[in-house]
Amino acid sequence: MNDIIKGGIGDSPKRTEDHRFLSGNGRYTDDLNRPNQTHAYFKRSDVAHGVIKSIDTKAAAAMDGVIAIFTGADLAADNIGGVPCGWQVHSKDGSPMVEPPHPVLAQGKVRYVGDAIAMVIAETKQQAKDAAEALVIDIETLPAVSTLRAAIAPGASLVHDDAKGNVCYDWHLGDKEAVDAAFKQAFKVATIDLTNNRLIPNPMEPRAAIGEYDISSGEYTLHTTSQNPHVIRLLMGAFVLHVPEHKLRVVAPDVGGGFGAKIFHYIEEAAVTWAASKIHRPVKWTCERGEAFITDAHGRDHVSHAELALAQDGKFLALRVNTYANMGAYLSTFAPSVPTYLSATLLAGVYTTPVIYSEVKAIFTNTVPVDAYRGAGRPETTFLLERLVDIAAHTMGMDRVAIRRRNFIPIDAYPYQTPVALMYDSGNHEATLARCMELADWSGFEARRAKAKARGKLRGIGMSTYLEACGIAPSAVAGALGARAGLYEVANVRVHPTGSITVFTGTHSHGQGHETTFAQLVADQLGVPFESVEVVHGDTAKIPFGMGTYGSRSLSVGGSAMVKAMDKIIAKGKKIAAHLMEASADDIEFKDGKFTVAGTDKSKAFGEIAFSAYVPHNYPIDEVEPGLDETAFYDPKNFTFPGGCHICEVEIDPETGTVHLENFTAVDDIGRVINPMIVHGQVHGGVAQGIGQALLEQAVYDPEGQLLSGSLMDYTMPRADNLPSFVVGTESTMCTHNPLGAKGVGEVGAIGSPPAVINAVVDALRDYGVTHIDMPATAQKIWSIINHAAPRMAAE
Amino acid sequence: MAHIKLTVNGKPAHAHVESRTLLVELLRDHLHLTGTHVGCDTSQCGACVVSVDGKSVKSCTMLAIQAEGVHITTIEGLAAADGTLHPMQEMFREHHGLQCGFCTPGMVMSAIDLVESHPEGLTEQQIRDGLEGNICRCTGYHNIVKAIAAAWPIMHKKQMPQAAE
Amino acid sequence: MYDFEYHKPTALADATKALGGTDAKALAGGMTFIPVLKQRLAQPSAVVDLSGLGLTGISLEGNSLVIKAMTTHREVATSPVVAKAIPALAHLAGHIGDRQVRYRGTIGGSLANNDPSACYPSAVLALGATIKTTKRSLKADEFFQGMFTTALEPDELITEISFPIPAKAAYEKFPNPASRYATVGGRRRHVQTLHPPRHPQRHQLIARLAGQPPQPLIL
Repeated sequence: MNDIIKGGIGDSPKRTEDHRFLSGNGRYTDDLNRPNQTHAYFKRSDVAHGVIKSIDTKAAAAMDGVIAIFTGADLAADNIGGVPCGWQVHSKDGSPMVEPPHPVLAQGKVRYVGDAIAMVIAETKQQAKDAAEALVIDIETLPAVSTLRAAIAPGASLVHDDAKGNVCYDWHLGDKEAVDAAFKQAFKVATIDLTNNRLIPNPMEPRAAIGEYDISSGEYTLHTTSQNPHVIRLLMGAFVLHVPEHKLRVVAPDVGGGFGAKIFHYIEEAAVTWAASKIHRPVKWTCERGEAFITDAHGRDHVSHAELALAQDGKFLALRVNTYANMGAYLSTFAPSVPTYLSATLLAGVYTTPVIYSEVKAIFTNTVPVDAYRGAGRPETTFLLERLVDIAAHTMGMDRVAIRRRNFIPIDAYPYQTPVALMYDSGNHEATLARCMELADWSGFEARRAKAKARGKLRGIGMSTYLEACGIAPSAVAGALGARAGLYEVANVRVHPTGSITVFTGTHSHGQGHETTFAQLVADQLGVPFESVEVVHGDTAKIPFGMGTYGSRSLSVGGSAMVKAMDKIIAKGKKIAAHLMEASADDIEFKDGKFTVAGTDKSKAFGEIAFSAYVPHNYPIDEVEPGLDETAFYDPKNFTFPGGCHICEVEIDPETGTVHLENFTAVDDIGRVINPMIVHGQVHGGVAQGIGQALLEQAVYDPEGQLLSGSLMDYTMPRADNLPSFVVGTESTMCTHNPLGAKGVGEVGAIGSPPAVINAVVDALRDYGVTHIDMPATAQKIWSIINHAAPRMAAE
Repeated sequence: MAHIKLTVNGKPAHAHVESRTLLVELLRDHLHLTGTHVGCDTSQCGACVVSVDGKSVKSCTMLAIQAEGVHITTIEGLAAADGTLHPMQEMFREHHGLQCGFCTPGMVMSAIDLVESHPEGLTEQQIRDGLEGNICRCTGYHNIVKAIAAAWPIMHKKQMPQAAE
Repeated sequence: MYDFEYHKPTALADATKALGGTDAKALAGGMTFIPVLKQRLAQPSAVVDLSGLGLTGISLEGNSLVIKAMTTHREVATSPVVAKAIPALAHLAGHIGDRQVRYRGTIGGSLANNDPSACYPSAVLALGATIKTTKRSLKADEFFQGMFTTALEPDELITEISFPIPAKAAYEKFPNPASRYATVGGRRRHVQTLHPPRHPQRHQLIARLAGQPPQPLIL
């Protein structure tokens, strides 16, 4: 690519979207109000498991302002379907996963605290809420299973009658016999048992939805807080409401953060859209934060046992992993893929482990559905692997850096076929490691530790060297693995007559700054000013069919579609330019916004060609259609594989057990960088969420299935004073199979950071004989360790 | 229903509200100033912070009826009529102190109050402590802290004192 | 929130009269009470806003620091009078909640609510403060009767709190990481050295209370 031009690739123009967000002119779903709008409130189960004996709506229906009250029976009578699952996993024995229906409003049973029983629609939100309290609902409580351990215990109560033992699927990957054989040759075996803590995504904007119905045209419109409006339209139209696409418009306007939680099709979206057609008025619902805690899909919640077989020289011989994954009460949209194809396939990490075997049992519990949360499967695997590598170093008496270097996939081994299906295309793990160690002053750490000790503090340092997979692809492979959708992306590049450009993308920006990054990409490639490119996303009535934003896919897949569409624009422009300059199209070169006849000074500016395309007076009309407006779909050839090294340095106050983060350094290999400012911001945010998982956040259910961490008073979100400033760098190798070389950056921070933090905490506590601490490493946990384990003698 | 009168962003405003109407509901639903956001229901997140008589207040934790006669500035009232941003807004933009933008209005209103309350200067730690009432899920706060530090000299029209503690 | 009648009296007598009605509740800073109303955890028929009663101000009276009930945490935290008389109290007030809470939250509201994880109750207990109400004067030990329970009658309001000025005092809390309320709070008075390099008492305190429900505690 060329040198950095203003507003082009590699520059950091300030974000286009910022003025509106900074001046209060953002338009989030709850900011919208439709004429004659009504308000919905969902009456939800306050028990985790039970049989609905009766619902008496009479008193509630008579209350002020109440327009309608709907229950599961009303939806069933109207043939409304359940919300579907978008990924099917098969068990070891070939049988498909148990896939119970997930009704929009509960049918017969409630299965978690938060399960919606009835929808009350009134003139105001307060009236709907008042009336919901007057509903008389008789539920016969059943025993609940609120944790993985409770759900797999013999004789456990069943969440769904047809899921025996609460097992959704029992899946495996890899060569079990080869792994067993390799373990017999092991010099030593490192083992770990861990829980990957359950998290609540908590984007700052609570979910919201407004359903509308036009009786004249039969058209439905849903405004919703979604990361992927076309996916919602497809799932809701085809499976729930049975409305064809051309009669259903889904708009995701400004969306205040997603982190995965806004990928999924939620029941409220279908309920308000359906209800609008029943009462012939718009129906608005805005989630309260407390309601979000018990309805937004949660993340993580895996329990794993892993063993790593080691040779005498520290080489990894084989890896064996057994995982239980909590699905919650129903299968959320992509839940089954998270512990399997997004997790176990990454178990090679950055290492040459020759054989790997993984077993995963997905388990139903009486809890909120669990699905993808920033990183989705990859943080689980990275945490397991990078903790296990530290334990392996300890087991072998080796240095933590040396054991990693001994097992790195060497740069000349790329492309590298792992034993767990993936084929990595590029990476340079030595380079990210070396740069990160330098930035973090790894070699100066022992001096800092000694100084801290003199102050009575326990200082530790930890690292993770990780690799992840983004941009799930190609579609055919995803389909073979169980995805019920394609995973391509689309771009429509519309050049206007005077040369300004609107780009329509199927990806969705909810904080990532696509309106800026994509404009840079287009400006750079077409040689037009950054300011003359507008990016449109989020409205199925405007954008072509695309899959949305998750899995760090927007640039690598969506940006590649844009490049393909621009290639078509340029090819067509060359034909027009050739006609205007009386040359052959083969002789036309396009560079810096100019079409030039090769070897001459004859050229036409991009704007002139655009004008000719729309005012085709002097035009090759027999050969070329008027207009300059091209669409491309891009289906990637492979996943992309970002990776890198994160180093964390902590200091623990032994009096209280509090962990203080001293330094955090991240060097990531994310391929091509379009806007370094935005890329660094993505890493900061991801790292903060990873640190949150490592030190602060945990969803806790009591044995009856009540969520104890059900508010921001009880669930610790990282705040400014919990975090340090970060040191962030990139050390990129290019993706080899997409036109941009881009790998993706959205999730790296959340994937690489948790093991770096916990490795540092364990290092700080090394004198207490600690080899592992489950996340979150709270002050209470650490204080207990310090006060219940006598420090080992220095000589030990 | 009570009839209340107040000043919002320098202009007189009035509304008929129930006793239970919150200030944030008055702003969003009655006055259509939707820049002030609601991110939680326990007064933790700070997305709803506005300035009430010069003090940063969580508008979800004040009754509308208590705002009788007060002067309120919301995020919509900071920029000049021609769209020129307040220095704090401009520094958030300059330093990429926002991503999804949802916490941003409350964050900016709190940050302005923080800087105005500390004419003696602000350390990084003081800025971080001063943001205790505002939660951001996107940025990791790194660039928010930078933005606030950068806004201080512009707002106080002098260099930040070196040894401010 | 359920709806209620709103009163904003300008005289104490009117306020106590309004509170004498059925299910009326006093609204001070509202930093706890409004969230409680929002969660529909309380359904008062009337809410009596105390902000019009002029109950703010900080003064020295003899060897006591007197703080009127509606004085905000921010006012206590930034008061030169408090800083001179009982700096630890200014420090305490400056670390209650967040900036926004400190602008509106009041000492009287905090004491009347008597949340065991709040900061002020432990200060009032440890410093042996006297709580003056519209009916009487109460010693701290008489005022606090248990979690969220005080000696206040429904139509009785705190008017001011009088703190005897100690030789030395200090306050430490270990905040809950999510709510930032104190899980452990301890106040010391009449000590000879302020803030020794290590805090053995704090250490012991936390050791004893780990895993137990929070309680204010005098060291």
